[in-house]
Amino acid sequence: MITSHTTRRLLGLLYLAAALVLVEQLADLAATLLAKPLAFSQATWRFGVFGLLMTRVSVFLISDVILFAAALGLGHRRVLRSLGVLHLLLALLLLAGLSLFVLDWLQVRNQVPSAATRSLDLSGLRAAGMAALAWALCGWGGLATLRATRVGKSGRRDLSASLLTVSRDETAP
Amino acid sequence: MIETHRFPALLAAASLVILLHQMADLATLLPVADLATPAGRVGQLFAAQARTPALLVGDLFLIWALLAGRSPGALRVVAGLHLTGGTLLLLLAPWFLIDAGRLAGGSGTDTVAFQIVAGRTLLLLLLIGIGALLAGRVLFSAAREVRSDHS
Repeated sequence: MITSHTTRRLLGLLYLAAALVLVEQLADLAATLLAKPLAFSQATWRFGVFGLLMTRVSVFLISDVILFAAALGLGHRRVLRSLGVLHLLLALLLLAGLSLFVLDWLQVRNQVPSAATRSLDLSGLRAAGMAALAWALCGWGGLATLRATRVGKSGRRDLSASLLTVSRDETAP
Repeated sequence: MIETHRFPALLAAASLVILLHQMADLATLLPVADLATPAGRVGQLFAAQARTPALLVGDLFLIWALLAGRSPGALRVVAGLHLTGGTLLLLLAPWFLIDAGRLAGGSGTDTVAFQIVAGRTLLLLLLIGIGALLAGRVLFSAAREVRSDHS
């Protein structure tokens, strides 16, 4: 855990930065989606929405890493545990979304002209690949975070390690 | 204590997903790219330039993870990639300048806007190229340091 007062204040600002990135991205997504009438019942609409969500994976991951860095640097165990739970929930949502996306993909594939099938397949493959990677990362991240922040029998322990300075040598038993 | 030994690996994985995502997006542009004409090549570079912020952040996360993970082998591989990438970007700069020069003729607001965008792209190519070379050098020294610490 970082103890310098100035550094801790700066790390605290990372929460704000991550929140800003998230809110900006979500607002942008909402604006794009709400520009046209919502059509949950149409496979093409659902396929498009999932693909659109997957184009934002990088930015979401960036804000995710910023959040983790702030929580680790400040030693905020509860925030880390909440992030762990949130990531496991996201992993479940991604898995459900990915399954639905693959079904929609097959359905949309039958509706488009054969000339456009290759382009559709490439887009579908890219979105599905990113979703699978994001799912794996969310699941792994969620489990690793919950394990790392487990409190032992002695109750609350010292939050003294930090991602920012850790090395294998320091954590080796 | 918060056990943090898993986080360098998680950070590396997140950075690889970010980099892969950006590469995949760039790869989708390639089949429709017209690399035979200056306009096509310049357009392609402008499209690639839009991906720069995410690529840079992904790269920074990767370097951070490698430094935290202290793996000399991985540090050397990434250092080599940075040196190669930096050299390629610096070699690309004069080529881009020639292509952009061919397209920038004439006058008017469109030309001024094009010149500004081309100037920004050139500056980015040079800065990222130099930055990649410097990062490669630093990563090689870090790899040597880690190796000597281990031995």
